[in-house]
Amino acid sequence: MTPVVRLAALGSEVEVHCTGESADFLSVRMREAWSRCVARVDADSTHAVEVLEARLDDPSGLDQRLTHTTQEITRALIAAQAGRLLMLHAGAVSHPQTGASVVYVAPGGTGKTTLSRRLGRTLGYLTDETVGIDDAGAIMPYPKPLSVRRPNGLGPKDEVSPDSLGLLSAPPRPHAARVVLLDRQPGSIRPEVDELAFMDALFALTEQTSSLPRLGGPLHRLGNLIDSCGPVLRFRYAEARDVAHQLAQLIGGAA
Amino acid sequence: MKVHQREATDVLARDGETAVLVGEHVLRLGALSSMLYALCESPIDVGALANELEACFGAPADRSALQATAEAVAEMVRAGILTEE
Repeated sequence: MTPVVRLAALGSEVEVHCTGESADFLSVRMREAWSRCVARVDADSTHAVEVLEARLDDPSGLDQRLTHTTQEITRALIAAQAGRLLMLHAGAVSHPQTGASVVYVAPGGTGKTTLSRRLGRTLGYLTDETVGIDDAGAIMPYPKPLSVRRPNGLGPKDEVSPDSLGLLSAPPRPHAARVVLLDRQPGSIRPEVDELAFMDALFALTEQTSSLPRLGGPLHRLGNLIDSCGPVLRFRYAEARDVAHQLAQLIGGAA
Repeated sequence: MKVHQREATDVLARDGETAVLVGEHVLRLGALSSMLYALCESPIDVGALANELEACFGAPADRSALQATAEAVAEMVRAGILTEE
């Protein structure tokens, strides 16, 4: 029987059907890496679920398989929520007691994962990839594995469970409280923070959305987020340690 | 020639500026362009547009109000937010 890993995240569900000669090995490692998202496979469920296939024959290809599957899962979840959630390329962490969350928006490869690892030690880890926000401001967590560079810097990144990294779990009802834009500039000397005017924030955030036109009143939806969480701040920084404390303070937390 | 707004996915005006979402693209209009766009909610002659804009913002220094307005309109038509009748 094909091993199936069912994942619930971003307010939706996806099933990964593991195939190939190493299917069982793959499904075990999938469950480890996706520990925060694993859902029960319910044969009677009529819930619409996106189905993906992940094939692994040679166990030595596991890391690349996991990385690729993570990307496919993200695409599937985003597609499932297009037109429902306001989705930003962003990481987010949440105050463990209040659920107030800081959303840090940035393109891929510019520091979201590193910040999430650092902030997630003291604040609930929501995601390091895609933040989905409903029209009431509630965040649908996507606590995916984090892509972690190996100590020697060689080979593919490892997909590591937030549990393995000791990150705190998301509180029951996280909501967007602050939105910041990350502008990581390795080598710059000291961090800078500035407030963005409404339209500057709107356009900067627009560039980091997924499926924005599919929403009803998309610009107003984004505008409402800015109004409820504003002002939007831009953090220009070099290293995560330079800004982690300030980001945590925005939601009354510590880092 | 009359022009009017094309149907946009969403329009948001704030602080004198306007964001217009057409298809996958968001356009940012400054103060003058925002007023021009707003005046085009119903079909309007380019000459009448030029008069309204000149009354509000004054005459352009380097060319006539009509010429400047026609150029702005042409740019908005190319951008897909206005259409000519």
